[in-house]
Amino acid sequence: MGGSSVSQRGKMMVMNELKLVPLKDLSDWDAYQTATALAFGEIADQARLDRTRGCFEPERAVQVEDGELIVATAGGRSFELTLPGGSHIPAGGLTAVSVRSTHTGRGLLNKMMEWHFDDCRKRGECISMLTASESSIYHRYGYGIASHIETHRCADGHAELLPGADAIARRGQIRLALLKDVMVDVQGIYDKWRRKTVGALSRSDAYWDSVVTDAYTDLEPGKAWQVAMHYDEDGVLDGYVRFLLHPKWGSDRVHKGSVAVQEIIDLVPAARLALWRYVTNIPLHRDVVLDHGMPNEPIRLALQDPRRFVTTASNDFLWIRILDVERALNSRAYRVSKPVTISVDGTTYAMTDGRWSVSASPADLACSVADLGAVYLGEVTWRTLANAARVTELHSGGIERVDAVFRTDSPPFCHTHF
Amino acid sequence: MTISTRPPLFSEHDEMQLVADAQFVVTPGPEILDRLRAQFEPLRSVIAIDDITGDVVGAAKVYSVALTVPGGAILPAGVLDEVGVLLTHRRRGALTAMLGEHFAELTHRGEVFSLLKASESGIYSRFGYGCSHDAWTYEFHARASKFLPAAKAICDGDRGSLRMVRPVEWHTMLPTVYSEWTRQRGAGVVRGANWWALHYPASAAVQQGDSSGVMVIGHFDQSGVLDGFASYSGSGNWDNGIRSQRLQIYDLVATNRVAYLRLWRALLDHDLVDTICLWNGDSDEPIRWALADPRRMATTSRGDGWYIRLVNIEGGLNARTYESSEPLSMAVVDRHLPANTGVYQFADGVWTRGTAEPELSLDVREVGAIFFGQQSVSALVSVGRVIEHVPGSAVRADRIFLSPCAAAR
Repeated sequence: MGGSSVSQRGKMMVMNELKLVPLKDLSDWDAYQTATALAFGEIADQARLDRTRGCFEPERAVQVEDGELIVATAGGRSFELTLPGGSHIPAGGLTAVSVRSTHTGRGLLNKMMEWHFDDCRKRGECISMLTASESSIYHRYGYGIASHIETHRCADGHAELLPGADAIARRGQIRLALLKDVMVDVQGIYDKWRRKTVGALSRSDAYWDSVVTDAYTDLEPGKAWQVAMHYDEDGVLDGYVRFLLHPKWGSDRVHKGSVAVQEIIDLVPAARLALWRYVTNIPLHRDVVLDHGMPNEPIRLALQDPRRFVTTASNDFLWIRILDVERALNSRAYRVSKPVTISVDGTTYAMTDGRWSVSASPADLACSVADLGAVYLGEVTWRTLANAARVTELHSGGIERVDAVFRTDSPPFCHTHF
Repeated sequence: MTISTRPPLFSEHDEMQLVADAQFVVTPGPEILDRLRAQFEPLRSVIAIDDITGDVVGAAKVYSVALTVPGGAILPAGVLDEVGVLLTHRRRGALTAMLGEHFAELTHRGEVFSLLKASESGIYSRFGYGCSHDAWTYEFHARASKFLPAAKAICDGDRGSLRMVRPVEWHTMLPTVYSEWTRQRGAGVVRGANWWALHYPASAAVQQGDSSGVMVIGHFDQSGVLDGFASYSGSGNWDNGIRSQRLQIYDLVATNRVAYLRLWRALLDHDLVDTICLWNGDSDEPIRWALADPRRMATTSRGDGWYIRLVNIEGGLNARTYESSEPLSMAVVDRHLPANTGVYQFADGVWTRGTAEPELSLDVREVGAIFFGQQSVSALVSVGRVIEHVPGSAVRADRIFLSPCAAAR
């Protein structure tokens, strides 16, 4: 490949040959990230480039070069993903995907996706994941929406718990700290939590560093993440809530401050109730907003007036692309083992004695790999996809049988951006 | 000063209506009042009287409906509506007395379920009602609502047809499809003739405080039989000569996916429409998964749908079927109907009263919440609303109550 770069003022631009270049070195970050930032209308200043470099995995990133110009980027991050049944598998997170607006429609995304899929396979990952900038792009690459997050709000004075829940919430003790001072404890709790939460991702030290330094969030100057830690009656740390305070006074001098809750991480339900009680009783900050909230947030069930716990949005979060169907099917657990068969993009997989393998038997249903991605963690049922014409039932009762096998106890939840 | 309760006379309708009007600070026009009077069931309804002045100070209307439960059985039930107590007579036990009268009336008829949609979510749990379904509101960006190829192909290849259903046809055509739809879902309030008369003649929109008319579009299968319909109204304005219109869907009912997708396609392609709003949607509306750009279907709120109260717990529990036959025992407390308090044992698919050591303890309102299998027992345990005495019994209860049924509307 290659080609001469002739781009001088007053002369005609010469179209270069486009080169797909895998990266190798941390020093590639600045140019690569500067190109990515441009697609989102941002300039990456040096301080920010330095703050964000830690999460960069150069050997998982690729860029397309047009002469001197970087015209497309795609990166990868290494995670562990928790599956139904509690197993954890390595999975590749696709990130920083950009195509320069002068170079769209030339197949660059296709090339980079192929490279990323190969990279995942080489690393033994049977799943690629992403969070989408737009929801219309990735279906054609085989990704399905595998989890969603919800935005919840609870206004001043409406957060009171039912008596039973309130009694539970009063047990134990709360300690308040700045995130930077309790990193070890917070990381420890998070890691235990994500191991039991279907859809949750591991977070590396570099990830936590980026949180503490606000590498991506650009907090207002002087703002800091606070953490309230919950200890049970025996003094054992069993949960935390991470939040920002936004004080505000109205012109009537009535306080209208709010608490922006980033995450409530609990190892036991009692900790969740106690942390909720804490976070809704912070002086001057009585409105609570959870914008990366769990679907089916159990706190709603604990409130005296549940309608005041308002869900204002529900958004797709994790998208999954299954790269090795047989391995992915065998990585998660199933509630029951039944002889069911599914045809995924024309290949039939049968479950026998709890194991999936390629089979020549007639299938119960036919789907695409994107559909399997959507069902995989328990986000949606086969029946719902069939009603949307995405899945075809190949004989009567087939969908219900397969749904009984895939059904999970609770919806998946992931709120880790990458 | 004491308060007593009794069923109203038919002639007392308008006086009773004043109590509900005072509660919501509204005055219905004569046309709505006529319809309310026509559908009034005085023998099932309750009023509270101030014994000294003789004034009606509390009112609760009850309508007869049928309830479809998991497994497909259809049972008669009472829906409580327009409940109110005058602000001059609050906190004197009027509501408690009226509900007691209502429960007694249900028991007398041999009915086991009372249902309601609440004006406030915190009131009715203390009378034993549990919220069994969530109701979601969605907003669609109509001009960016392209279907994925498979859904589009289904619409393009459909040999059925769409046609507007005229108001004179509503009462004869819509209830049959609606009933079939609730039967398929294994859950739902089968609306009685009085419900249809109340909500569909002049317009559902009037009932909702909207002055525009209601339209109904129907989908007919190849042989010309109605197999789905959508009712909706519109509102909008002309701005710089550009019509910006919003459709509000009340019901979108379809007994198969072809009808479902075609009805959606027709509404999303409606001329001059920017936004379409669906109330009372399911948490897993299939339409989301048919869209090429699913984010253009925004979730704007999650509300509580039907509240259900089992007046006879044993009868209610045995009305539905269960997928799991694992055993379970639970102690239920019912403060308003103490005869219900006791241990219920599940064995071989049947609930009986017993004396076993309970594995779970709960209030009758939680029985209502879990009855349709939409609300997880484990989640209620996690917030202290159900007590788990034997580890693992909540998960077992989840498997027993689990039902593939969708939400009722």
